[in-house]
Amino acid sequence: MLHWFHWLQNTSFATGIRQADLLFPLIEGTHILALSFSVGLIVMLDLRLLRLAFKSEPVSKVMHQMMPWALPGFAVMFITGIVLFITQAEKAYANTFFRYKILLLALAGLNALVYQFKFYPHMKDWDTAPSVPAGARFTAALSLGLWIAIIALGRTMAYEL
Amino acid sequence: MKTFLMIACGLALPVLAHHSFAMFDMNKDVTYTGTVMEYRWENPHSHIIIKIDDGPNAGTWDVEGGSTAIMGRQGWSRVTYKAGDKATLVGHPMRDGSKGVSLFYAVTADGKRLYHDIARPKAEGAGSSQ
Repeated sequence: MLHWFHWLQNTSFATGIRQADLLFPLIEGTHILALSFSVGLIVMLDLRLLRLAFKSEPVSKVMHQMMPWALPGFAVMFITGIVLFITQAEKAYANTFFRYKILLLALAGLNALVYQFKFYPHMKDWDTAPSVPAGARFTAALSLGLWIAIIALGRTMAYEL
Repeated sequence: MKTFLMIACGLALPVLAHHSFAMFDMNKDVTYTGTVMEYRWENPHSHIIIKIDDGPNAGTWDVEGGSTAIMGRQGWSRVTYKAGDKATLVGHPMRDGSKGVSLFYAVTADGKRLYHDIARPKAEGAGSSQ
């Protein structure tokens, strides 16, 4: 694995970006700014499911307004994240915080799938109801916690030399 | 004036660093003289791996500089050092005692300071970092 990451980090693509004065900070900055479109809007949906925001709006309306922005935002964040990883694959692989970040990202992905396949298909039953099923509320709370932790871990990564 | 300085510092700091200087003891300026094992000119930080054979700082140290853009503006380049070169680096060691250093400046063969930064934060009352 480490051998493969060593090769990846030393491809001309990775080295070129790593040594670029402008391209590297632009990719890094884009990765962070894309958070507001992806995680920022996912948080809004989570807050609606928890009935802490947009209480008077149907869940479906909030979801359908947010997702067309959140999904492209997520794609940009994901792609720039992959590129950033490639430029420092060996170092990231060895970084404890990065490992936990990837683990929590996988959990966030699973959590989103649970919501999408278990709760979303029955949304019409509780779309405008004064309560949201406990299971769906649980996925929302978990999503909030996981994303906060993922961002914190991503930031903390930089503090391992 | 004080307000202006506070705003100026607030604006300048994020430009300087990919992370804060919290993990380094900014009040200690330690000189590391040894052999360059590896010179990594890259983002988000350049690194100079320096090996010191004896003395209180004996060992291999990872000296972290700024981004290529910041260092480039102050006279550094991808050929400033190469493996095998002798180097004298001044920096702030990690607080936790591990062999990591935040580069303050290098001393070139003709005795000049090669800066990697414009200004560094110091604890209150510790004096200017310039």
